[in-house]
Amino acid sequence: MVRIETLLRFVTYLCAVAGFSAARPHLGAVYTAGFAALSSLALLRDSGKLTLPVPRWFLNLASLGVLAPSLLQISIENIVGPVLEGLVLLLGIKLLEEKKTRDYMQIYLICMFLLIGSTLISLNISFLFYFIPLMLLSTAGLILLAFFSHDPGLALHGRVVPKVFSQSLLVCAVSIPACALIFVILPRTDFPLFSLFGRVEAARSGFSDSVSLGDVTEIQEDPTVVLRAEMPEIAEKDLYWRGVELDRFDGVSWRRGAERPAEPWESIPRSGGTDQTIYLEPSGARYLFALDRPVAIYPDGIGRRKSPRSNLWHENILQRIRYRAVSVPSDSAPGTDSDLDRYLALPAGFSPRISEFAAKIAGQGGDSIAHFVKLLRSGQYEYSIEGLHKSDAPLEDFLFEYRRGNCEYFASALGAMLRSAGIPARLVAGYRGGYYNPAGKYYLVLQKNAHVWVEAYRAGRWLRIDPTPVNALTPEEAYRESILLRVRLLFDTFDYYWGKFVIGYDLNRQVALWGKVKTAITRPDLDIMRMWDVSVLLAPYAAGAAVLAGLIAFMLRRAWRKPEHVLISRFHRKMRKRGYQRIRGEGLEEFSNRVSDPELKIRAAEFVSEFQDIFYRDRKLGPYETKRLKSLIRCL
Amino acid sequence: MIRISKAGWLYILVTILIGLSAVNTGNNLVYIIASALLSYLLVSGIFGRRNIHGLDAEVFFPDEVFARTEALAEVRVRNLRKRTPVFLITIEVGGGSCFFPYIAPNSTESGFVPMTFHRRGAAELEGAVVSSNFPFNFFKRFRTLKKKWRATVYPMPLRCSLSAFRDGGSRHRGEKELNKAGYEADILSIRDYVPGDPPKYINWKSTAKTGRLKVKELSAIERQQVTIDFDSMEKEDVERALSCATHAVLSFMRTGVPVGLLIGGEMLRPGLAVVHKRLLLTRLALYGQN
Repeated sequence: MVRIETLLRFVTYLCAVAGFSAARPHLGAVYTAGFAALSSLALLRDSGKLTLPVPRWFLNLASLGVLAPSLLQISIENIVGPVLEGLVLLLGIKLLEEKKTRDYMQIYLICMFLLIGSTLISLNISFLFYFIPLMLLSTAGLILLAFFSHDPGLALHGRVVPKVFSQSLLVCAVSIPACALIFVILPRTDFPLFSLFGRVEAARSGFSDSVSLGDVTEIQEDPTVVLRAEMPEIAEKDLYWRGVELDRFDGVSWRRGAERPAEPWESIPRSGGTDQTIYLEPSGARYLFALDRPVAIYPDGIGRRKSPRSNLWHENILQRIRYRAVSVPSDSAPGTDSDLDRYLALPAGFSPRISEFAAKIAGQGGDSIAHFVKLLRSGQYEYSIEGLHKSDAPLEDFLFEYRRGNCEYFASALGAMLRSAGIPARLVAGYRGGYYNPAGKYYLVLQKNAHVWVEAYRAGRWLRIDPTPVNALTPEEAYRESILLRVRLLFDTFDYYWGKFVIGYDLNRQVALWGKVKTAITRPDLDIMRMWDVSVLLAPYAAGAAVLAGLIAFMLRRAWRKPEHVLISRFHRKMRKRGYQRIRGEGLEEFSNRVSDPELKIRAAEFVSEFQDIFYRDRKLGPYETKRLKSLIRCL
Repeated sequence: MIRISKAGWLYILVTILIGLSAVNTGNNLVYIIASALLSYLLVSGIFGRRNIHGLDAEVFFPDEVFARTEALAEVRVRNLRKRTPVFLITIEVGGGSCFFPYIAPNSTESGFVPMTFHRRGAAELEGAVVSSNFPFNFFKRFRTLKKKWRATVYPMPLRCSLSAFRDGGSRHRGEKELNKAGYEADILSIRDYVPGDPPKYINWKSTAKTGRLKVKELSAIERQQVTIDFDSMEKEDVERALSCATHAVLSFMRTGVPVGLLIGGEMLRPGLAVVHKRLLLTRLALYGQN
């Protein structure tokens, strides 16, 4: 016999560990240690290895004592963290108590709040790793608690315990589709009241509206995801993700000047351009990225509201967002002649050496831009992200001394030289390249893809010029070659779909889905082609799932059926094949006597006799008997 | 019928709060948790309902049930389903209840419910309430099994003098020794062992003295039989008279005295069999009832 309380304690401790693990990444070391100490003490006490005569009132006071400082730490910037820390300690104290039904309930509740708290900080797919165990364990715990509430001293037979746990699995299995359905239909709102939650992870990104020489280096080794762009695969050379235009140069850094865009966007071409649905991770800034050059950005994500020629989000991006962009992949775009002076501005006292150098190159005649690019790509300048020298005159040092630098140095040098030579130029910060995930049909762009390039104005068009040597094995290119990328892409597919279907499910999608359902019900013929495509795509999976389900059902049926019934069914089948059907209610002997074929009659009677000898005398049908009866059936 | 427990109210409250938080934060992970909590409400309803259906219960009373005396009735619950076990079943019947933590598929479990009937005669138990708080202790579901179980409740035995029930001329207390061999009274003689004699009557002392197996020969007892003339008993308080007669029937039969009964003009001849005893008690139980 197994005591329910023992099982309940076991499950509850596991549940507490799952709840704690969910909050663990957001806890300070002191709180982690505190929980570990409290739960260890509780475990020792519950296993009878330690007597801890601590009265309940003292523990209640301790709970208040723990919560008070945590609540005092709450600030508008950090609401969830202190609450989680307080809850973790509260959980430890609860484990330490002499547990009654309500205490177990409180423990499960705290575990759930810990999980909810963690979701307010991070929307990562790792949520599932805590949610699923917590769901399974709390279900088992709640079922055991129902037993416990009847009689705390209740003990179950060993063979019943697996049945109780299988019921909890069954409850979970049944609630998953119900949960999915409820998730889809629960009302969403466009304007959540407390959307300030879930923004803690935002501050991590390194993209800003200024580029100081050497800054990109830090993020060029950072493998965190910047964005995922759902679109067809395009040529590698066109993969420039435009972010922010930097037009103000102070000799060391490039900054974004005016808020307003420099020139109008092109209209959407008749061909439609390249449509992208972009899932942008929180960056803390307002810039929306799109394939160079964007001609339209739809912040609502579905294309109903077009952004007025701006790639700026309405506020700083502090949580994952989705938007739609249409681009015309091209290395030039139309510009206007007005206000070109700001693209020619150089700081007062700008390096005369660079100016002279630029004038000398431009003076060669012909296409000055091509001369500059040729110079930077000639091999005299080396691409490097390591050991870059920072100085008061980094550009001069780059051009004349060290001759090595990253994309910032190349772009800055080119931009400055072009301006010196009287060619309007600006820098564009964004991302270069990306990793196409054929499974999800999207580009994955990482921080290490960060890039800066130059745009020069000539004859009414802005030309994209990338002075960074193309043959340089940048960290991004090295990463492209690594096996790590393939593994990363595989896992990222899950993350992508998670973000797309779960995190990104909002009011717009809900409305769109409702529309589809409505259409499918009222006018099913409209979508028939699309449904056919989807059906063809899903057919193998559906068939596989059906076969698997059928196999499981068959095996379960076999397992559930008593061996006697299996044998009798087999006997009936065999007799049917020989042309004899047993009538409902007909006795076995009666049935075998009815057989006219004398040989079959004898064999059937033999089976019936041996079967009845076992069945009606309550003898156990062992392996030998089963084998024997099966052989008799085969002989029929 | 469903009754929501305190834990159930708490669960509903928490679910509503988390649902509101989901809407207010727009956080889809909170939506998932809220959906899970709501789905558990739904699933709990399905499992709870399924758990109390497909059950059948029978109540078996003890052979002798006396008024105002606690008796243990056996409740047998059968799980009629072939594959699904049931859990945490409580059967309430006749003011008592018994609990079955687990009933395997297609099997029967039994428990005992203490019951007290306050009146003698034909008693009827109507309906048994099956309840369960499975799977979670949030809701308790009830279902009434519309069945009837009947029992004959004998009058409560009331100690009273038995001498009034004996034959007037008898000076013996129930039995009389006969000068005839038997196995019940005093030693008549010691004789040689004859095959078939019960070994417990072997007299080892005489056997040892004579070297031959000797047995004690005891005299037999003739039992006095008693007929309770209920019709001629004082019936100022009928229930008391019935209780007294019941006590007499039980006492005489316990000491091996055959008892007969004259009741309502019907004469039931003296007898000692259990069936006879129950017949007499039934007549007493149903006296004055149709």
